[in-house]
Amino acid sequence: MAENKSDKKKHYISHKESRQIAKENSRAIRHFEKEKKRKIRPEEYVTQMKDENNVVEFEDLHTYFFSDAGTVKAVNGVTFSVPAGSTVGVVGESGCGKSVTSLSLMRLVQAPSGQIVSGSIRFRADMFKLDSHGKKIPVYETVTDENGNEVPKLDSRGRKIVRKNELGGTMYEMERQVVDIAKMPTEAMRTIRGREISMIFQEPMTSLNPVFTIGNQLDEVGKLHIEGISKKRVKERSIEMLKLVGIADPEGVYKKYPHELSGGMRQRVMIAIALLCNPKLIVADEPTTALDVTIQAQILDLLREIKGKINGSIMLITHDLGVVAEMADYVVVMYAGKVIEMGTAEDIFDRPLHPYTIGLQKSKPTVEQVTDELYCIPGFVPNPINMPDYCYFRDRCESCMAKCSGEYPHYVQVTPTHKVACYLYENENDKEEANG
Amino acid sequence: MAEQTEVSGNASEVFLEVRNLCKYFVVGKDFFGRPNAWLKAVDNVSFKIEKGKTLGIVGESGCGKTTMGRTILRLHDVTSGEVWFRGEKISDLNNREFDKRRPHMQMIFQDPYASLSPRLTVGEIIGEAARQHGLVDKKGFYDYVINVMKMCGLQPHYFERYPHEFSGGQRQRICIARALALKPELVICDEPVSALDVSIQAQIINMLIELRKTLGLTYIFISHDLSVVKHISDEVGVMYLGSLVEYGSKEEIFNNTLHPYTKALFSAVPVPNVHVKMNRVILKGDIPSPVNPPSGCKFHTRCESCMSICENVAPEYREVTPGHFCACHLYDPPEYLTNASIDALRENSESTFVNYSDNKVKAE
Amino acid sequence: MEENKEIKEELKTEVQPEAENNVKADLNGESIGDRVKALSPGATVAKRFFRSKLSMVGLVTIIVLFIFSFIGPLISPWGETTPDNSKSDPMISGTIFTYTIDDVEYEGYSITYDWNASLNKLDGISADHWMGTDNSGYDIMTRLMYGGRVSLTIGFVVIILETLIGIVMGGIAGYFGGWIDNLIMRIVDLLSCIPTIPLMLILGMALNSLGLESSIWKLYIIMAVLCLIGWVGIARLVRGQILSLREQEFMLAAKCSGLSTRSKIFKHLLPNVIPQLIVSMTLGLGNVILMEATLGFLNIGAPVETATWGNMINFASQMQYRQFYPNMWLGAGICITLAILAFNFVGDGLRDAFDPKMKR
Repeated sequence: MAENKSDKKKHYISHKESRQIAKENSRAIRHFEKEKKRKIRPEEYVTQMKDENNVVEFEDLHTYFFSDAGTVKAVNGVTFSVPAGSTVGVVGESGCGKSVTSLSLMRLVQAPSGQIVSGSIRFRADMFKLDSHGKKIPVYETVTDENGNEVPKLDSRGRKIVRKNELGGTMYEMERQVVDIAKMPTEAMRTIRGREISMIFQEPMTSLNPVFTIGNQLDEVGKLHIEGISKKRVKERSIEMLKLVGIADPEGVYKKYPHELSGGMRQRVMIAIALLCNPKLIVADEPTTALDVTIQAQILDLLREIKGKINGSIMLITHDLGVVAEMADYVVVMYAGKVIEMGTAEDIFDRPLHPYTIGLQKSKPTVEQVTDELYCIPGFVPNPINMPDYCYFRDRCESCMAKCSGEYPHYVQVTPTHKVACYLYENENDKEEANG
Repeated sequence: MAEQTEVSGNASEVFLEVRNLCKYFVVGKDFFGRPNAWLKAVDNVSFKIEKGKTLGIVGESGCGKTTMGRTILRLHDVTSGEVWFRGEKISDLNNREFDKRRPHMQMIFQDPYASLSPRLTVGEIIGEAARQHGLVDKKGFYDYVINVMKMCGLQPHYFERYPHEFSGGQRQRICIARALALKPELVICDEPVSALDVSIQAQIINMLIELRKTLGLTYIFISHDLSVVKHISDEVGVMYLGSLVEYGSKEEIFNNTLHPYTKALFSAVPVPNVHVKMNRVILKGDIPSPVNPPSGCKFHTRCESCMSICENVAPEYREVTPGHFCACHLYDPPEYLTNASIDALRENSESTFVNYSDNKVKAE
Repeated sequence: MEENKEIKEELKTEVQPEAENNVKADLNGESIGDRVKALSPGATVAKRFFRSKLSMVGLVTIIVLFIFSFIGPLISPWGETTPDNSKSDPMISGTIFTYTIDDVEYEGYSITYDWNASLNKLDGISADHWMGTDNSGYDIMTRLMYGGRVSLTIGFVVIILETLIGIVMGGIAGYFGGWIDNLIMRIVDLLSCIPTIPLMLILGMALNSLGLESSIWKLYIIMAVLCLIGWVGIARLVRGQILSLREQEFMLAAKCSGLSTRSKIFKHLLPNVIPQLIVSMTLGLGNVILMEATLGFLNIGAPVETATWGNMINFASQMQYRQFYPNMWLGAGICITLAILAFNFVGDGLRDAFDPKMKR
């Protein structure tokens, strides 16, 4: 029993350590909060894409949580990109940082303890062009006069008529800009959230407000993001979206309250809300985890169908390899805050390289095959506090070598599309050096 | 009735038998407090398990699989029906008598976070009940608990710690250790791995299989995950809206699927293989509310092969091939329809209760 | 951005020595899951509590009040009911008068010792009396200290008794449910219909007529009655908590293991209610002190001689004292306010500290 006592002491954080942690945390948090409040000029966050085909590029993103038990490096140097018009699946177990990555993209990380520490998230956005007063510039209807010049069309009272965009809102002059979301001011972020990037959450039960009707909640988003839209047009748009997500009775559902709908229906409504402003990117954070298999099949089918209809990309975050295999074009496998392997779906599922990816695929029983004993990865997902510098998977890895205790492995470019961070493959491609 | 009792009274053959088990929850009462609306969570379920075998129960949320497990263990009161355990009718015992038998029947719960009391140490959680049932005295307590912990892959120095310090997988191990500390014969596993990560799931499943071998346990494995159920079970039952729609040996269910619901369920599971783009049966609509289940066959609202008879007449749960039960009109014997008109069948459907028991006896 | 990087670097260097230690620990056979130290449950709560400045202020105030009330009287040269007679010599007033006995006139003296006049009463602030003296010549500062003793002791005793009754009744109602629950909750409903102040007034009169006017027992009896009607809030809280806890999976697991009712209630349910109880007790303490003060103000609490904050604030009800001698009642008022504020701050801090959902 005495042994237990001493163990207990060793196991818990002492007062001194705790004070030390608190001091460091408050210093770091103060620094980042100050940084957020600072006025940021557009020049600071407007950048260039590395590859013009991408919608989003994450580069060396670090998002930390300054917790009482120490700094949690939830996202610790993540680099990947989402090509336009494709579905990227981010897979990993709980605590691997996949959700925090998506929240960083939306700048919704729980502040003040959670902060984007460094790195960049480049996003190709259609931003409003601003005049010298910082106001948006509307586009006016024009007519060609007798001289062949374009002149503004005037209404009966001699005022210029504002042109409407395809959603029925006021058309403003837009410019295509590449912005670094990680450095953007919070107010500017608001025009991107919901309009350019929208999110579908895991819990359809709690992500709708129970005191408003479905129609109310759809209209609200529409009114907020489509400026100058008429009331009638908003409702039409909402119902149109409900129809698009496969709701059989859109007018009926429009009037209903969330509690009157089943989980699958609510998730459809969430998708409708996400689609309302024609976003370029939909972030789906475990969209089917809370649903039953038969409903999951419906929702996945719907997501696939919708991707074909709208001209956007999907970033699908899930722990279910099956879902990824079905949905994704590209797969990013995360482990303990780092990307350990990425490639096309074929790369990952036909030729998995990282021992973790291989283990993950082997440990899932399938309906087709019969095995006596399931393969299992030993040990537990490491606690993200005080991460060592060696490969995080070393202690659970079967093919662990002496080298693995060294520094964290660099990415090895196995094929043009396939990257892996493991020493097992370093020798094969010596010339291709650290890429991330 | 007497005949039945004799059959299952033979303890050496039947380890656990559930007969026509029903569990209705009252969801509405009239002005005078008399119930007028019921939620039929478990409706007329019957099955048998032999010792050392594993029965897998599959179904979607709200199909009553969890309630069924809990009702067998009397965590809910039985509305009607019987549960026989080792030749004893445990559904009629009073609470005190039943508590004495609890160590033989244990349960592992779904949520490893909610099912551990947050203010007890791991040692207390695991050993408390064993102390109370007199399986171990004060002196041997520590060693006993450590022994169980080792068996479940927990390190001895966790004894003094609190559950909140552990990850989901370790917590589930604690839950399993708590169940096994009572030396049970029957363990009802209620979605034991669905809250866990894939790599941890495999560990827990392997451990459960290992423990089954070494301790000679019998499992009822409740899960929504078909692949897991297939891996661990000997027999499989598929539930929909409170009733078993198909039941049989694992090979039968997976290779010779009968019920359209089971087929749809199988095809809905995503496969981690990019080349298998299978022709998927996507069910329309949602699961109906169990308070107002559809008339006739409960599945007819979503069924692809729905016939007119399905809307009016509840199909009989019958043995289609030996050992393979199914409740679907597609597998009705040919004379069934010619002999009676739909109206007559409707009357009959009220008495499927009786019909079923007769069949069962004959089958044996 | 450069600053950003700096911070990152710093974080890295700070973390590294730890990491090296951990590698060693790993080699010693500890698994990677044990590498990270956790906060013990108590430490987590303490950390969150001490982070809130307001609750720290409250805690310090409470400690100061305790020292003031329980250690102060030991130092003070004055007692609770020792009048200060030091003002001057007793005033002797004499009159000469004549009287006749058997037709002979005699002169005589009548000497009156007026002890009252020697009292140093209604004295202002001085070195001897930091807050002056009251109309009986008692040192106000010292009486504040004694008053604190009474108020705080009564506060704690009443709240503990209330809580005990509340736990038992609420626990029984919540755990067993059914008709027992119905019965207890109807009693609770009935008790919450009784208006406290009128009841106290009537009770005070009745006790006076029983001859307990100058006995401290009057206060005790009144407080006991307060307990008897005050437990209803706690009972409701405990019942509600237990009702929700009873549905938790760990209670199902306890039932499944066939644990005895006693162990289910005392080991599984009550420890989970304790955080809420501590919070409601702390918040309730302020209320009890306020109640005592109200009773004192209405002159139905402790006998007039006994120093309590309530009795002292009673002076404010008399015109001449209220206007010309604020030192007589202001101290008591401030003490009451401080005590109640402090207990509320601490209560709020504890509630936030115990709440696992609080992020900061």
